[in-house]
Amino acid sequence: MSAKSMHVQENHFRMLELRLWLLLAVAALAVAGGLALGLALARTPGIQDVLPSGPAFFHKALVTHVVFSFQVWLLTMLAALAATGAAHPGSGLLGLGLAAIGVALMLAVTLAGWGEASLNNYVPVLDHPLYFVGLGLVGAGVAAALWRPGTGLAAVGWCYGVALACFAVAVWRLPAELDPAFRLERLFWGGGHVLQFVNTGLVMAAWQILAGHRPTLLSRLAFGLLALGASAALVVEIRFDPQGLAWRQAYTDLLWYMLPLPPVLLAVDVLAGAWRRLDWHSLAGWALLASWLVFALGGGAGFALGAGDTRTPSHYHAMIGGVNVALMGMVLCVLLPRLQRPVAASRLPRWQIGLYGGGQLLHALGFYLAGMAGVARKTAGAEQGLDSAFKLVSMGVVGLGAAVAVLGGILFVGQVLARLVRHD
Amino acid sequence: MAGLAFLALAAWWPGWRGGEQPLGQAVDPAAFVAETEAFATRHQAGQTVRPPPGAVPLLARRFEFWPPLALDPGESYRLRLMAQDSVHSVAVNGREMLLVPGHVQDIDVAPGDQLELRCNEYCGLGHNRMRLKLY
Ligand SMILES: [Cu+2]
Repeated sequence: MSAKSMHVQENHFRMLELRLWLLLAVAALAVAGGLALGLALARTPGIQDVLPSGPAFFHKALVTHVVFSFQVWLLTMLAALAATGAAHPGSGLLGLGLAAIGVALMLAVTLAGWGEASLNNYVPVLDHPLYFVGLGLVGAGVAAALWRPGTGLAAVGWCYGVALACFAVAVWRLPAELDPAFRLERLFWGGGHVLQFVNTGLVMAAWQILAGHRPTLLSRLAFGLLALGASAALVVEIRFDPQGLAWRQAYTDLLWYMLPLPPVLLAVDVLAGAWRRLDWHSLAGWALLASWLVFALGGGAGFALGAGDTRTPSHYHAMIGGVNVALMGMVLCVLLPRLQRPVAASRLPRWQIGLYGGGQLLHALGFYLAGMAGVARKTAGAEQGLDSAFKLVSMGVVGLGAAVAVLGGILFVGQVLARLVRHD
Repeated sequence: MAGLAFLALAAWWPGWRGGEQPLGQAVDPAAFVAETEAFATRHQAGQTVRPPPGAVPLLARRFEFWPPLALDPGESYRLRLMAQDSVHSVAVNGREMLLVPGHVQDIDVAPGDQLELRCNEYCGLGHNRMRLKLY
């Protein structure tokens, strides 16, 4: 075979890999959306008895909804990004197969109603061996895609390795006879924190791609600091007992001190580089601005963390929203065109990103205002004490924002699935 | 490069093992549970317990702090908390203590405090409900 035809063939497999990772990522979102519908139904008397595993279905569906729309979506998008430039599409396709089997296993366990639901932080799980096998397969599959030359994501790959190491060390150090809720919480606490470095690295890379930004000294420094921050987790593991309070708080401190600076540095660098060059009216410019706006609000709300009111969910929702807007923009503006499957209508993607970003912005803003007025987090109904018009209006904005964001999310999944599946 | 970064971090944070917060006074768990139950019966007042100023034994368990209390805002108390079933925690005034079966942690309540006990260690599906207003 000539060098040229080998190159063509490798490129063919690379495009196939990218398309399949995207398909898995968007399919995970679609399933998460379907489960969210099930969540609503599970609260409806009469219907709940027909659902798999009856009324207990609510918590089980909630677990898999979170895992698919958060961990699986973000990690498979990371793998898709890695696939765009990496060598060895073979190992990427192998990883993709593993991840797909893992996703299918977790969905099967959910629908069969196996295992107890545990809503521990970061990675909630169904406490069933097959669910853990599914998680492990997704983790290994993403590693296979990420840990190869040419991805341009070395720092993120390092953070991901540290996260997996933290999970492994936790499995080894936490005795099996601990109370299951406590054990699962501690099992996913350390690595779950480090995964936030991975997610931050992912959004940083997405910003660069949206802006057509080339690496500079400052951007390298930003990714270096990110990798350094994640590495500090290894020190926490050496110094503290994973059953203690100091260990748990050390991870909170780790995010507080080490996570904010890298994305800010990178955003400054991207902005400085793209200021004149980038067409801010283009879809990519629009997605970049929307992502930064939502992200900035989330960062601001981050200063109120620990107050125990709804400014905490405001922070989380805005952060995830800001990441997702950038990823959606990257799929629509960069990845689909690269697959020669661009979205034809130019209006729809703009609306889609506007609805999703605007909805997330309203959602987070409502939570923020409600929190300032003193609404406690993770409460519902009469417990919330919505005793003033201001609190009522702000919680109304939360609901409205969620509805608008969900509409934007459905539009995204529909558009992208249609482009990925259609044969042309 | 990564190895160097790791070494730098280990050196920057002096000391090999980190300090752990104390778990509190060691007690016989069964005796403490019996003591709390007797105390609650003695000071029962309707739906809640109205203890006299001073030491008040309390249990943290899925998914409540027990017994429910109605303290006098003008008095001083020493809440003595032990976890009954598995690990919980309690956060008061920005300070958090881990609650472990067999160990008792003290919280001093001064006149004028407006405290609410809240579990801060995930302990199961009812974890978010695990709160107690003291007044
Ligand atoms: Cu608890």
